[in-house]
Amino acid sequence: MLSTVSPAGVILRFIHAFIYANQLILNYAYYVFKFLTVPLDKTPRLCQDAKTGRSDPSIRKLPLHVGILIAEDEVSLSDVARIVVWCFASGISHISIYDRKGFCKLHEEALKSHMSNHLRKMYQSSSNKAVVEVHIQKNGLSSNLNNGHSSQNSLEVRLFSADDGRGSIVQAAKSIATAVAQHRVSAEHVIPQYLDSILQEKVGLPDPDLLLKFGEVQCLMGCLPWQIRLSEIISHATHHNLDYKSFYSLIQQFNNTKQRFGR
Amino acid sequence: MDGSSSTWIKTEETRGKKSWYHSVCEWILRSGPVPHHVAFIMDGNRRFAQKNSMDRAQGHLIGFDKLTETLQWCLDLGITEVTVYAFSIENFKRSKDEVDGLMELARQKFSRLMQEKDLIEKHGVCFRVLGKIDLLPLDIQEIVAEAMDMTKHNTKAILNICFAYTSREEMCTAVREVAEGVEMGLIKESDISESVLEQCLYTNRSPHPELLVRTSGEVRLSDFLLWQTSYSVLSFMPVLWPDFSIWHLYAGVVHYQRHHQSVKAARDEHEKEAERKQLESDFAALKSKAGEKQEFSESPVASQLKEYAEERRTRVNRFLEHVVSKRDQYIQKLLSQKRKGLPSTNVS
Repeated sequence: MLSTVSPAGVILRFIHAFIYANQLILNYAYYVFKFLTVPLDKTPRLCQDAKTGRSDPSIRKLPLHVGILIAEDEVSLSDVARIVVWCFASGISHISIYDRKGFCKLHEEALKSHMSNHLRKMYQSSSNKAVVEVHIQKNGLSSNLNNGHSSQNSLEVRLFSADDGRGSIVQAAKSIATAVAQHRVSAEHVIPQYLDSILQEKVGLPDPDLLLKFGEVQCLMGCLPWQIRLSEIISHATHHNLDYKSFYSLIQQFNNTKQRFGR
Repeated sequence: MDGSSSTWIKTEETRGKKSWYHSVCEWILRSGPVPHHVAFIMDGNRRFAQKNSMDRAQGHLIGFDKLTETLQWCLDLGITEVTVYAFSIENFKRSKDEVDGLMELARQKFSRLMQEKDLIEKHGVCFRVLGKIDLLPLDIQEIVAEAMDMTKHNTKAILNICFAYTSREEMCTAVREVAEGVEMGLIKESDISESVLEQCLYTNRSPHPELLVRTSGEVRLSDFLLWQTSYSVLSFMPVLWPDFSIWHLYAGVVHYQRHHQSVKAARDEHEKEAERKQLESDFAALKSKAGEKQEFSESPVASQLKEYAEERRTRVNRFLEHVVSKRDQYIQKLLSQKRKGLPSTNVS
């Protein structure tokens, strides 16, 4: 109806553009507001909370595995590292990071040193003087260290990018096809539990129960389609300059969710 | 619930005239990009029933009516394909009463579909049931087969109903399909790619949905179209499905319009990357082929590559035809069973 340019069409387009622009303006106003209200001094309060985070009585349910999904064009390694350290300090044992283009994978070393820095700063003022070692794994190769499990003095992080999404299912399909063709596995044997175990070997972690998505855009950007089946997707506008209060409120949101598993 | 409100197709008489402000809203929305394919997780029927102190079955029935209403709203907006999550394989875990009730609802609604044949033909609606349908009671399988067969040529509006479906089961079926293809020698292991797997999914006839709407405020995908919505706009709405209104749909479309550009950019990039990978894999396959012969042939690499890609495409197409025909055969088997089983009930 609007393919020909009629006066009515122009007016409608104008209204549409107006609504659209309004949303954008509101969004930016929100950003400015957020920027102005971000506390300048974050570190001291973080230590307080990080130490007590685990025993916080209002948090009854912590995620076992948190996936940090960066759906923004620009990735700030320092901010990502800080989020990871907060997760670690609050007692979350499995942490992985996904960014579509693999920026974190590419800057693995820098990310690692950022994490060490944040850890040092955090534990400086605390009574716990234990040295925390940081381990990073790419391409989902199983670790011989702690099987991807962070313990009190080792922090383990897995990095994923778009290749690990549908791509890993294609890889699994190839290896399964070879096995079936060589009669090592029968085709009837290929059921979801079997495929899951093959993919599990690669990722080596339980499926993430919480996906923290950072970025305005409401999209998973190719993030691990097999693994995120039951993940709670909790979004925040950006990871840049995320303060502890916002992080804490995301964890609290997760705390308030209920899973029914189809029942 | 009176009978007239429970039909699949809403005619002018049963749904009343569209109000002018809806028309204006539609016009405005249609001047921006509108998704062609929207997926819905219709969550909240049971909570709605509990809130309004009615029994669960009643909640599901109201949920069904909301679906038919929503379909009409979608069509008015220019959304020509809708995929809904009606019943998950996990839902078989629910109480026997509830599962039986849902199956009875399906039985009634699909039978009803056959009665509305003329109207469906007139509107050109195509019904597809996606999922592991052999888990369903046989009589429902037969009705489903009949409904799919009857409407398979329609293209104006497409409704995919995911029934006895989970995305993991679907992906696994695709993997098994390609594994069998390799075993039978139809394709090579190196032919397996994202696009081949994708075309073995139950959704092989549909483009990926551009927008996914989940009602009831839950913020997870619950094993629904995980592969297909990797690059879709997600919209989680805090409304229970029976309370879903046309304004929620409008809000969903506005939400889509806000995000679609950046999502499309990511999707396009992903597709380009997939093309590059395909080229790489063709090249690797060509190299290993040449390695076996211990010599490179004389013709330039580019033309060899083109030739190889052509061969691969032929293999893949033959394989995909095999997959489709296998599924069609299952449907045909059900149809002939039904014809044999009972003297055709008079449907008029």
